[in-house]
Amino acid sequence: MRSYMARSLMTKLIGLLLLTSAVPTIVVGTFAFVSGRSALEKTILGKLSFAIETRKAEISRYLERTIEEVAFLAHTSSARMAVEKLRVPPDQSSGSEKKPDRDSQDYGKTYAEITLSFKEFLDHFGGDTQAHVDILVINASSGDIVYTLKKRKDLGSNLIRGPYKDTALGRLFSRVSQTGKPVMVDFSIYPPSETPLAFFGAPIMDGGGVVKGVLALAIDARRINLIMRPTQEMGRETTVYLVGPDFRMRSQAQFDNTSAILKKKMEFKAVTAALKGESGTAIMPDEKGEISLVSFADMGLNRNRMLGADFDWAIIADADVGEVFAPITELGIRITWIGVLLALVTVLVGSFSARAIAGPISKLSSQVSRVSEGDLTVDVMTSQRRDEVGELVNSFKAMLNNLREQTGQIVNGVNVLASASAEISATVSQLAASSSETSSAVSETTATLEQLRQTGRLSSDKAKSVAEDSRKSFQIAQAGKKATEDTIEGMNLIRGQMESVGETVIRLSEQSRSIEEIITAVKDLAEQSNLLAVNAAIEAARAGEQGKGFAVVAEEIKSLSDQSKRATDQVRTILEDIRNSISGVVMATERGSKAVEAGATQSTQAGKSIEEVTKSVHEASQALNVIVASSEQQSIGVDQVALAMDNIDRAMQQNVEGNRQLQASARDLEDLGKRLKDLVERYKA
Amino acid sequence: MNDKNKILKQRAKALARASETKVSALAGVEFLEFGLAHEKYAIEACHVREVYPLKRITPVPCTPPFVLGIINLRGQICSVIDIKKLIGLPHTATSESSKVIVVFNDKMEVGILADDVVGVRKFLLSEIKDDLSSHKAKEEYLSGVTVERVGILDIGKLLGDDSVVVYEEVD
Repeated sequence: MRSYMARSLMTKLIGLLLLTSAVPTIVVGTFAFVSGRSALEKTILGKLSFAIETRKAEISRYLERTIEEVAFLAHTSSARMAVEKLRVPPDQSSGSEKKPDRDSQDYGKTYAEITLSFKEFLDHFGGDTQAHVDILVINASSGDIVYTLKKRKDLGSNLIRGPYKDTALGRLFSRVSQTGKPVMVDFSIYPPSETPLAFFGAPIMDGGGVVKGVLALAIDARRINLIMRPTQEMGRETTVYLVGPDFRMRSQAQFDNTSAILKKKMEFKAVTAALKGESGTAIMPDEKGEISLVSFADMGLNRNRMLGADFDWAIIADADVGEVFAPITELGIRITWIGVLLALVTVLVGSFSARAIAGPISKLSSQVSRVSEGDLTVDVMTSQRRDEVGELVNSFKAMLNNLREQTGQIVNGVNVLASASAEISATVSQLAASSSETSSAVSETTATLEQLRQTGRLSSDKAKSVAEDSRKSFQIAQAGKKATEDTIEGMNLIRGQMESVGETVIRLSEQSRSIEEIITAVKDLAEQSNLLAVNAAIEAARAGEQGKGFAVVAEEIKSLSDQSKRATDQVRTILEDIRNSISGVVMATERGSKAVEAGATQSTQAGKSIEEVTKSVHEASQALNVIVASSEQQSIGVDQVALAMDNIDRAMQQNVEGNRQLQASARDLEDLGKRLKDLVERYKA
Repeated sequence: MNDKNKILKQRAKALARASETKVSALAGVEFLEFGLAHEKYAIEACHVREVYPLKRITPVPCTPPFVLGIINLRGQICSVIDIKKLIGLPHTATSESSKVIVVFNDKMEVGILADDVVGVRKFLLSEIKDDLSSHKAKEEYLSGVTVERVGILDIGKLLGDDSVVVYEEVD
């Protein structure tokens, strides 16, 4: 239930409204109620205390006045007269009702006098006489009740020995006699009247201060009741009463039909406390057990010297809580009803407004949750309301549109990203490859540069040495020129020799030719002999047996011819060799002479060339200087190039590094693209 | 002088040995060995009149191509033919060593051009095999081949061939 309440906005709103309306109501109501109650309490208690105080004062005054009256009355001549003149026969002892000497005329006359006097006195000086029940005079020495106003049974009885000696009157008499001071005695049932009466007594003294008699006044509670009567404003349930030490009432509560004095027992805490001498206010259960507002105090009668009382009363003001708090209770009930009504109204109003607020919000919330799950196809209706809820709905609609657009764009962008990053990756790898190629090319170039430098240095050195050499060669050229001239001379000599050699050779070849001819002749001869031999052999063969000797001869001839052929062959071969040699020699000679000529020409040429060489050497040496200079420049240039190459190389390294990072970034980008794609695929737009 | 004699004796021995071989081998036949188109051939010596050096051939018109011409053989006119064409050998040019072998049988006498003449040799009959394929010559003209790869030409076939007979008229 709680979770349900917490989930629904509507119930929250209603609950909130309820709370906001209920809580103040409750708080204020309770506060009002409580404070009103306590104020009322205080007021009531104050009132009660006031009531008590006033009544206490009044009662005290009343009692004091009464005792004063009695004391004063006791000082009147009538009192004395009563004591002196009125007598009851002494031998009429206790037990039976004693008839005073009433019938005597004396008694009657005196009695009438006294009574008149008393009445006059009381009329003039007395206060409230309505409560006076009886006035009695008692002879102190005898103890007889010599006079009573009411002439009841007690008239004439003896208080020392008589039947009423133990009554309150008796006690009064004894005390007054003993103390010689006015005394008050508490209410008690006075047998003669059988009603609760209280007695006031004063000593009737003679001139010498001797107590001759006691004047007693019996009162009932009428006056007290009157005093104690609660005022109208105190309500029906408020009672003020007196309680005696026996915990019985001494005043009549107005709600009691019958006399409660000395009958009704009021024993509860307040009474007990008051009788102890405490005073105060309290809320406590009364004698019925009902919670009441109680104000209590002790009358202080026994402290009042005037009264001469040996007892005290408690004065209690008792207001029933229920009745006292009735208006408050009513207020409370009214407040509660109002609160309930308010709550209902609130609930109603709240439910309507909550529905108005929460309805669209909950609808929106469901749509939003759909969107959060990835469904961007949700259709949000434009709200007509102009308040925040309407704004929210419209804003959400706009946001959703934007989101859809954005998602679409993101999808496009992601696709582009994916393809681009793939391209980038590819390009980067290409780049890596090409940069590694470049790097290797660079290193090759660097190596080449190094070589270049080396060779440049070499060439420079060489140029220097060549310059040196050229100088030397110039000198050599000079020498050469001279040598050339010598050579030419020698050449000429050789030519002459060659010519002579040639002649000899010609003669030789001629002779060899003749040898050749001889050879040929011999060969021919051999050939013919061979042929002859063959023919002879043939003939021999044909001749058969006879031709055997002939065959041998033919054989011999053949062999001979063979020999000579061989010899001729040999000779020819030798001749051939000779001829070859001769021709070789001839050729050599010719070549020699040609060579000599050529040599001579060449020497001349050489001479010229040497001159030219000298010239060009000169030029060359100059050129070499230029070369040296330019080679130095070249070397500087190469150094610069090498430096540049280094830079390039370093840049390449950085490039490679950067490229690697780029690759990583490209990969990251690709991953990102993929992740974005996955992310975006959650949303169907 | 002793050396000389020694040498002569040695020679004589060598020669004697050669002739001994010739005399002992009664089973062999005398052949004239000659060269033809870089191959060795031989003809029975009994069919050979003589070997004549080739000086000058006088070509005769209106003769088949294998008839090279005529020569003056000590006053006698002998026709020379080139049997290479006949027996299917490739043509070779005449050289210094070329000789004319005058062969004859009972019908005719003709001179055969040979590239060179080795000499008269005796071949044992046992040496002659029938492996005629070793020579380029047509097999019908070969009667055998010796172990030394000398083709024995059959003169009869050669001279009896119709193609040898020249019979041409000129209009």
